[in-house]
Amino acid sequence: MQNTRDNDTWLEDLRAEGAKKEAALEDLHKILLRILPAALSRWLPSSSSHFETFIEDTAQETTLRVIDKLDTFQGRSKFTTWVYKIGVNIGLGQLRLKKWKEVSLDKLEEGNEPDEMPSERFAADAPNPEGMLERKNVIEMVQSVMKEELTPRQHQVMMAVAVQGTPLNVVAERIGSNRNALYKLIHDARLRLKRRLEREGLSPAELLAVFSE
Amino acid sequence: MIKKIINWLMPKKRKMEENAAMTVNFLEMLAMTKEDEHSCADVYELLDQFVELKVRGADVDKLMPKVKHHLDMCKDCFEEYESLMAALEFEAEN
Repeated sequence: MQNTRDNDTWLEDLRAEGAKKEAALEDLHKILLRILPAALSRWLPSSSSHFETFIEDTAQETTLRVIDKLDTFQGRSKFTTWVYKIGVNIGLGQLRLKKWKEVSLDKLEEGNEPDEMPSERFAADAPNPEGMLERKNVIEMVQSVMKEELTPRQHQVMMAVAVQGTPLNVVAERIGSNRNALYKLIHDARLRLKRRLEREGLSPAELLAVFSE
Repeated sequence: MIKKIINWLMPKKRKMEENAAMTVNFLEMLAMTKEDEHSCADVYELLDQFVELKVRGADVDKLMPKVKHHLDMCKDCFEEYESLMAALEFEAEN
């Protein structure tokens, strides 16, 4: 199906009443049903028994949000690209919550995907005893700086997101926050840690070198 | 006896490797940290424009460096970027 409307026509039709609006909504829905599988099948295989329902639900929710946010479209991109952005945000958000549903926040901090930890990388290039001691000192120093500089909330979120790779929107949902606020909290935490290292006369690059020797 | 010692040492070794991985992860993030970074909301606002420019072959790293930096730092936003790229590539091919 060809998208024959330009941005202004989309806005005009979706703001209209009656048959014009109905036709635009129907076209938008059809476009979403065609595009969303291509955008999201990497995270939920199209062979999954839930796939069709998931795409249909995402398309419906996207259409509702598009109508709700229509006045915020600034024309920086094609209207349909803006719509896909909303669809992808909704679809991936749902998939992440579903995937991490069974994992408690305590587990998120401990890490429930240990296979993602690249420990082999360190086993393979283990240095001599002196190098091992140097690594141990850096590890202890970083842990101690984290304890001293970060608030309990910053520490909790850093461990879950930055170390264990838990999606921001999953942690946000668990602790009653939002993704944007959590990114800012992590950014503040990173800045605090970086400034502390600078005060100690150290740079992250210099410390990283200990692990590549 | 040797087996017993190895079994006693293995969990410690594993723990040490995990701590090393975690420390490297943190230090890599700190090395990339900038004073002024785009938030997720900033990037969400610009993502459709960024992806369209990218698909057209523009040098987005130069044109929108703060978006690029955020995508390097934030897994959630990077996944949305990848999905949106897949959507536009599919649209262009079909």
